[in-house]
Amino acid sequence: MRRYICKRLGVYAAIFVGVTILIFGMMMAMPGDPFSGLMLDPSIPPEYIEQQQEKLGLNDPVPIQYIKWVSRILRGDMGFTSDGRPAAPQVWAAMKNTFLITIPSFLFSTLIAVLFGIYSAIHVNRFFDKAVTLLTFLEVSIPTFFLALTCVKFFGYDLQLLPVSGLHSLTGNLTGWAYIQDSILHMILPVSILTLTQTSSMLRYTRSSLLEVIGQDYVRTARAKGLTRKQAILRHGVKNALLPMITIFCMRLPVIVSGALFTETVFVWPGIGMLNYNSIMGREYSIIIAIAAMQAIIILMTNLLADILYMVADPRIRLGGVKQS
Amino acid sequence: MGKILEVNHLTVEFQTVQGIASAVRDLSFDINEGEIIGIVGESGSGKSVTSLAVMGLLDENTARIPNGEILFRGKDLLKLSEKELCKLRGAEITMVFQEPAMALNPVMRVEKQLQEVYRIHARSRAKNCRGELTALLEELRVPDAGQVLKKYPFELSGGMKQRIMIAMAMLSKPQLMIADEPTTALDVTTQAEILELIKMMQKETGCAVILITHDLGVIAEMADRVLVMYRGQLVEQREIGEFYRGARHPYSKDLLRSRPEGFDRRFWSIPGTIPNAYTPLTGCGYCGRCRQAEERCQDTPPQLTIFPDGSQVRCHKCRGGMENEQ
Amino acid sequence: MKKLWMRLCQMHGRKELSAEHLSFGQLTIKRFCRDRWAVFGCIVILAVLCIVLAAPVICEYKPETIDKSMIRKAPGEGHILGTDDYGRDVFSRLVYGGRVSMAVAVCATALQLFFGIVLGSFAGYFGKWVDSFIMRVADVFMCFPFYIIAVCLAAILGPGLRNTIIILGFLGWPSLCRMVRAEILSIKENDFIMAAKSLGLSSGEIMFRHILPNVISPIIVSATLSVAGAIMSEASLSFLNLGVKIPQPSWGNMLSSAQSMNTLINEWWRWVPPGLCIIIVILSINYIGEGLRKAMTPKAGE
Repeated sequence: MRRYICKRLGVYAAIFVGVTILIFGMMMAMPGDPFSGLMLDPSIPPEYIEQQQEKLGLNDPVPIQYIKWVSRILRGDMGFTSDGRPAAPQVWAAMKNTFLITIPSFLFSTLIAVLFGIYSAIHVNRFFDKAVTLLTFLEVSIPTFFLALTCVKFFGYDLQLLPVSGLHSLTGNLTGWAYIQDSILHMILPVSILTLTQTSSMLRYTRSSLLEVIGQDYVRTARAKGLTRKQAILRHGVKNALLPMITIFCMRLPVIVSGALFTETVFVWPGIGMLNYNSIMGREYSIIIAIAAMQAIIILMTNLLADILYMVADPRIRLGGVKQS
Repeated sequence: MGKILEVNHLTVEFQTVQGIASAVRDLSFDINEGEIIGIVGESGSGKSVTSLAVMGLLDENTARIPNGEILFRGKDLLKLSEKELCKLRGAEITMVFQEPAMALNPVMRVEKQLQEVYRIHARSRAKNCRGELTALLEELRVPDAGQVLKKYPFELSGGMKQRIMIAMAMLSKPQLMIADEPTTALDVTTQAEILELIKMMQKETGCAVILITHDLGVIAEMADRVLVMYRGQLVEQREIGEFYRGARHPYSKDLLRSRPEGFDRRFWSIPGTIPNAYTPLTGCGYCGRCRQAEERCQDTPPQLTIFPDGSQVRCHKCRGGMENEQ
Repeated sequence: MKKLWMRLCQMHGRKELSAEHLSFGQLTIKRFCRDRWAVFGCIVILAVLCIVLAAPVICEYKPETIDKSMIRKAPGEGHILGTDDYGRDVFSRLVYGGRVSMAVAVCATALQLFFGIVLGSFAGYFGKWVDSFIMRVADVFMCFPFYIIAVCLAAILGPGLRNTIIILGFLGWPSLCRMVRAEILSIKENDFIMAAKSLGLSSGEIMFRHILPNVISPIIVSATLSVAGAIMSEASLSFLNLGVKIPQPSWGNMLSSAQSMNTLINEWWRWVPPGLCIIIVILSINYIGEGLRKAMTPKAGE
């Protein structure tokens, strides 16, 4: 088991190097640098600019810059934005806001997807299943931002039911319970939309995984023992069907950090997505790169987590030493 | 000796994209208590479908039973609710399947899977049954039975898994056990062992056995009576000794002829293949391949002739207790 | 084609059409046509294609013609779907935008297919270090959430039709490559490949004439779904003004106008039609893809 983990770690380390080179390359390729704008400002002495460039290591040869940058990122130092503030706190603050909407929606969507998926598979081709299938098709076809825009118009303006902009109401300083209530009201729409758009793929996976398992011999054996069809599926099938779901679940985890770009844009929610977009438009390299690197690391880690969890859960891998690739 | 199972005019069809496939056509047979019946036939003859129909395990989306009844001790299984059927399945009527490889849940320990039979039908006995299970496995010649109980199915060989399946089927001392090609997926030496074990269990418990196979040698060793099926129909039913001494139906004769025997005989196989289940049956089903076919065999379906000793045959040429010479 | 025709003529003469006599292609088409949704999807897509191809004929106005006197007019008065903030006719922008969106999607998919199939075939067939290298590169690409990297690339390359196609094609090949590789790996060890090898066929011949035809089914399904995905991605990028650049219309950048509150609330005709078009087209393509998948790999009970 240890060998397996080490092997996977090795693979991921190699991928990480590749990823950082890619990001670094993109950073180098982006037109302009943080100080090209400043250079046009006559009041700033050129020595100051050169000093800053030296400080940021912009004059070092490329490989050195790369190594310096990687070591900084791994320590959590994300450099500075062009207005001189450290980038890291900005990134973390935006992350917290994103988590406020992505974590609840992730949990809800997983729960709904698994429950509905299991029910659909058990009652395959009946009305519920057909309805759910239709909804999943629709869901993949509706762009998130379109759904968000429609909800904003409908719930925010036509019905005046829910707030649609930002994290908190702009009016007044609410404290304590009122503050929390206000925040929750603001969260309802973004969380609902994110939940809706994330459920379908996991639901389809659950359904098809369980359907495949239902056709297996051991479910038939269970029925031959005297279990009803539903009991056989639930007691014998679900565990086998959920094994591959572990991988899917872990692969979806990065969505918590990255999945809300369009929702944040429409709802003006100050999260990572908005920060990323604004940084790209404003050429804030330190933030762009930091976010990209963070995404990559999280994805690699969730991959590793998926491998480990799968190994723990499936006795075939744990005991038999079967290679999963 | 009472009748344990009566199948009367059973017809099973499957509704598929390509049309309606007739798997079993107007099948009737009985089984007495303690009897071992062998059902023999090529792939596609409908033998497995029959056993699944008895167990009530046909795919409910595609299978249709337009006609027939299956009486288990007088109760029509086709009319029972799912709940009532579940009481019988696993306790009174059990089944052993063909492929042991995937027939056991790969992520559940053997003990738990065996124990489940008790948990479903006799809760009180489930708690401390390890001793019983170990004893049963030892009877079935499973080495190191105690350890095997703790293992997962993927850690065991095919023969071992099949023994566990037999244990599972025998645990509740059923009245009828159906074994659908239990040895086809195993190597020859293991085959012999498994068959011996089935026979031993049968003697001990006195249950009736339906043994489904395409191997005539297996039937010769195990069965009291043999049913030959072709294209979903029963074409001959005979007591085993009589069958081997002189089968009546041309298909049975061809089957007996095609057994590889001795080193001096060439292999002979019945020419042609079974037409697929979508082709409607006109006249005798065996007509295309029968060496004794006549004009009437093409358009008139032969009826089942019942002889005084109880044997049956479905052939135009074997009527009235008189056989036509070849 | 000739074989198919001969078969069809043969079939006419037969009384009974049982499944044995149909070729794989014919069976696939038959199964496909049984799926009502897939057929419906086909009809819709064909209709949409006809409309966008007939754009010059059915549109009264050119999509980029500015008319300052007719700014932000509601539907009616000579403009079926009203006008936008430069007086451009929304309907013609919708139809021409459809051309752009679908062209981008198809080209991007073609690019993905090319790289995906070639690299996947090499990886699958040659194995060892070629395989490892290609797979690690694919892994690196798949390490990023799509939009993060797409947005970065769009910032580097700049918005525009050609760049959008490049970005979408460039980011989409890894998953196709993976799939092709997996299929090839499963076929590679088959006996008929070893037979071909022993007959002396070169690697290239084996790959393209024997292995690939067997991999075609999942590729076709994947390609269909890729087109749907590309339409969505193009729309999303254009929504952020990083895709097709205004004044060239595309469904996505028409939707970006809805980012202003005024347009969102008061001028529904500017953003609801392109949104609905996107939904309908992607939905239809998804149904077609699903129908193809069911037709090519039938399972029991479907």
